[in-house]
Amino acid sequence: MKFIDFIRLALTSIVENRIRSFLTMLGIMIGVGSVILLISMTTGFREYLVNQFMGIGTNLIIISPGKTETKGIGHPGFEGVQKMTIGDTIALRRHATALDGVSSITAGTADVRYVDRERRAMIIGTDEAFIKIINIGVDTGNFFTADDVDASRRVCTIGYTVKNELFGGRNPLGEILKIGGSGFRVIGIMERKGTFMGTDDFDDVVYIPVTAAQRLFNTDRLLGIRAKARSAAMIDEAKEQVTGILKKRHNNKEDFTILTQGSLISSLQSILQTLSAVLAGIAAISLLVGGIGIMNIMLVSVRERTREIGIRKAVGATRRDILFQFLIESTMLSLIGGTVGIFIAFIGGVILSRFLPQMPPVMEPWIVALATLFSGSVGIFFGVYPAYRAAYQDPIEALRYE
Amino acid sequence: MESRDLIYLENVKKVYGLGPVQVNALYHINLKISFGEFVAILGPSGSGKSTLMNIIGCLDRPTEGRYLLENIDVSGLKDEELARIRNRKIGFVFQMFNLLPKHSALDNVQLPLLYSGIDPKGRREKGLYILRKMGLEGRWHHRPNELSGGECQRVAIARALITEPSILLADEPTGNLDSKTGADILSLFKRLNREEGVTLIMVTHNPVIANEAGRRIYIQDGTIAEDTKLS
Repeated sequence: MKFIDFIRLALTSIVENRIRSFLTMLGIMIGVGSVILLISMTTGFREYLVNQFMGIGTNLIIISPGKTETKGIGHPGFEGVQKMTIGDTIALRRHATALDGVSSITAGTADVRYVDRERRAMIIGTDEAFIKIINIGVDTGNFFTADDVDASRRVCTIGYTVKNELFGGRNPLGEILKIGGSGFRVIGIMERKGTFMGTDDFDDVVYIPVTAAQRLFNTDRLLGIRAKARSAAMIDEAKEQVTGILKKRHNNKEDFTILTQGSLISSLQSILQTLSAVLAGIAAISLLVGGIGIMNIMLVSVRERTREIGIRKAVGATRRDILFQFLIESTMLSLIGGTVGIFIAFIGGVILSRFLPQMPPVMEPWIVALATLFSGSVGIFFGVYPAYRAAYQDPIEALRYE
Repeated sequence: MESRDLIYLENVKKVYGLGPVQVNALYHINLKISFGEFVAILGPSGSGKSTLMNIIGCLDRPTEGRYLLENIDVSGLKDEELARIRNRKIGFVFQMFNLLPKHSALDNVQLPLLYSGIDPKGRREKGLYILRKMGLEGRWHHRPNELSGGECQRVAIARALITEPSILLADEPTGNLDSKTGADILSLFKRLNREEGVTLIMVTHNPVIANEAGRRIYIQDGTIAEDTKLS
């Protein structure tokens, strides 16, 4: 018997028992569909996160006071806060050749008022290098200059949300904003940036010179330093330089933490990979259950078709012929189920991307290939025993079977 | 060993079961059947005639003794080889027709060719040809439940003949038919035997049918009690 004949035989039998075939496939459909959809969702989420991180800037280096041994995202500022000052920024600018830009950061929240409208906003104190490091531009007006920072002038550049809420349709340039009681002149409006990871509103921010911010919050410390390496290849070198320079200034103590975008992304990736592995594992269990369903139905089918097996053997079917007939039928069942499952996952992905336009599920080809392979293997694995039972039927008894 | 013998059974014994529960289904069967014979096998139920048919039909192997079919010793063949012999040399016709209920008459008739490795086009052509020969040309797409008993048995005979086998083995082929249809089927068998030279071995309880055969073998308690040639 030729292979194509087996395929035809299996398809005929599947179509003849439509409802039963459909119910049998259902387990595989759900299994494959959920595996693919869950993995696609985490892939989509991962791509979203990576894009978000890349969106802040490229070759970014984040220096925070305090030392954490843990790599990845921590709260470095919380334990044994060490001083980090504008002096550190200046030293880095002067000596770290691998850096393209260094900027001080300090931040806090304050009430921001314009005439009779008031709003609590994030105040970021930084310097002129900031916009070079972070991927954000000025929409209208200007960002403050080195001169503004040195003179700690009370000027500000405001985010889109702040502008909208406090000024409405009016032109804010040249107007005076009261920040924590002091007046700051608006000199620019930032480009719209949107939200980052769904939480912080990048547009609900007022940027002021770091020196003015330190006065406002009454501190001489920095929240941290943001720097940019000259190129991706120079990130490691930049890290070394920063470590050397800061250690020298901090009594040879490494009381700061350096995070790079790469290390942040890779630690996020590994968390998400674990998550997707766990999700896929759970979904794989349903695939296993689906496989057992196939075995169950095939065993019933073999029993029901005992007479057919007898007839086929009487007219010359070999054991191999019968074995392949049933094995290919179960494989086809689970392959068709798997294909429908892929389709369901695809539809599910399209629907989900409507609800989550920022992080649409990403269906990678390898996962589709793997799911197909896996569902095929499930069909073969769980089909072997029923097919074996069919093949070893005694033809005489099979023919007598009522 | 004469080469003109189609079937040659020598001291064939068949035992079912093992140890103390052994049942002797057949013993000391010596039988020769030549090409073109029409043999009726008679005997009470439990006499061993079905076992004999199964052995002749290569569905079963003798426990002891030799069985030569067309001078080939089939008693020691493997399952795959027996299946091949059933496919090429033997055509079965059963009392219960044993057609595949969900397949058309044509599909049922083609079935043995599927296992001979013939391509779909060849199968279809041959199937239609043989159905026409059986007087079923307009019925090829009908399923068994849409056919009368006589038509079903014709489909079954067509299926048995499609590989041009050496032997047609029929087990009570008229047992499930009314007497008129039974007579029609019997005359079809006779015509096949006379005109096409098909060797016919038929198990029956019906003495009328047995009288039409050229040779009657009476089985009792697992042995041949009587073997009469009528013509």
